Amino acid sequence: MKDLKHYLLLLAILSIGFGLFWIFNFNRQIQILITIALGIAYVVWGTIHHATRREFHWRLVWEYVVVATIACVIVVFLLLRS
Amino acid sequence: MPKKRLLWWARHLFVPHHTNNCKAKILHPSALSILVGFFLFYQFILNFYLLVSPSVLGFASDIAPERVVEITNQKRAEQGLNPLTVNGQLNEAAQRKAGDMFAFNYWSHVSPSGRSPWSFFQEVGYKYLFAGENLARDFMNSDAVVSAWMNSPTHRDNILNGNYKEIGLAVVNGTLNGVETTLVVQVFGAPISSPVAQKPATTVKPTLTPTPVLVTPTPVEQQTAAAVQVPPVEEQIPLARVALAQASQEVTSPPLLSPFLLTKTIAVFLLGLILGALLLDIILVYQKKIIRLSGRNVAHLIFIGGLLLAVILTTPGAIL
Repeated sequence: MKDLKHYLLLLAILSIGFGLFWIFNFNRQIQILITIALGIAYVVWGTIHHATRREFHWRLVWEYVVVATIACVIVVFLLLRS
Repeated sequence: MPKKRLLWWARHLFVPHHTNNCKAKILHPSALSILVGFFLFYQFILNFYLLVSPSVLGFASDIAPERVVEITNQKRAEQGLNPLTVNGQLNEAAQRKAGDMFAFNYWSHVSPSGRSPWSFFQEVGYKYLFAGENLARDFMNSDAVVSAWMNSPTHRDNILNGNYKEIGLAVVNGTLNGVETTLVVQVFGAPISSPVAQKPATTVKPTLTPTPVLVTPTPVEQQTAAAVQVPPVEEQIPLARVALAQASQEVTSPPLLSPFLLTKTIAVFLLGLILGALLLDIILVYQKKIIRLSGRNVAHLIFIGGLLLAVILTTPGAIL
């Protein structure tokens, strides 16, 4: 149940982010900022999620950082190409 | 056996196993870092190729200036506004602005040397009370350009500005930052001879910012002098048609390999690969009841899936 709340929060954060991404379609600078903000929010979510479950470990934080980085780098470079 | 080795690698990369610490190797931070490195290297190669062979990579579009003006006036009509008249001088100003952006390699309302859009108005002898500029690049067609502007509040304000009476448009192909690019320059104006000129000039403050909505009054002395210089409306239309026809001829270009599409293809492939690996990992971990210290794969799946959707929905084109 606790996990469900966390996942709903993650879905809410991502929904807001993607909504803004859509609203600011073709405004590349703002879309890049939104993408970076989403990446940071994801790392923060992952860290807090594991910390509240007493599973905090730097290895896990690193995993979230890498996942966020690969996704953000790909989207940002695509936006720069468009 | 090479086939056996290949299968071992496939299993090592995608199936949780004791050889990969019970987690698909491709989902390990080290492997993901390699994928980031691969993507950055690919971008570097693409940039290098653009430098050495700029004519091969680029963007081909089919934008008709007449259609852009037509849709712009349609949007205005929907709001009960008068249609804008095509003005030859404004077309020329738009052409010069596009030419300046290609010549000095910039994508901005104000050039690196500080040249404002209004200097092009003055260059062609267009005296105005109100003026505005919308820019777009690399759109596929005329509808997409106007649609993008209409979705941006500031550009929309320019299109639906009741103060404007005339419009000028240029669609020009050229090379910007080493890439074949189609620039669309849309300029608006209200000549001082138009009815809005009756309003006191002091009510409008001069603003010269790179935002799309720009309203700049001509100094009073210029307004007086320009009243004589502005050509009659019946003379402006044929000139405008000639300019639009010239602009149309320049937009036809052979299909090119688009750096955007090349990047998008690789982006979809990489994110799809990670997404597939995550899905397989989730299923196998659940089936085999593997317990391990790891990030939440479901969360990764949601995050990567969302960004993959954003990548798929991203279309070429930018406005300013």
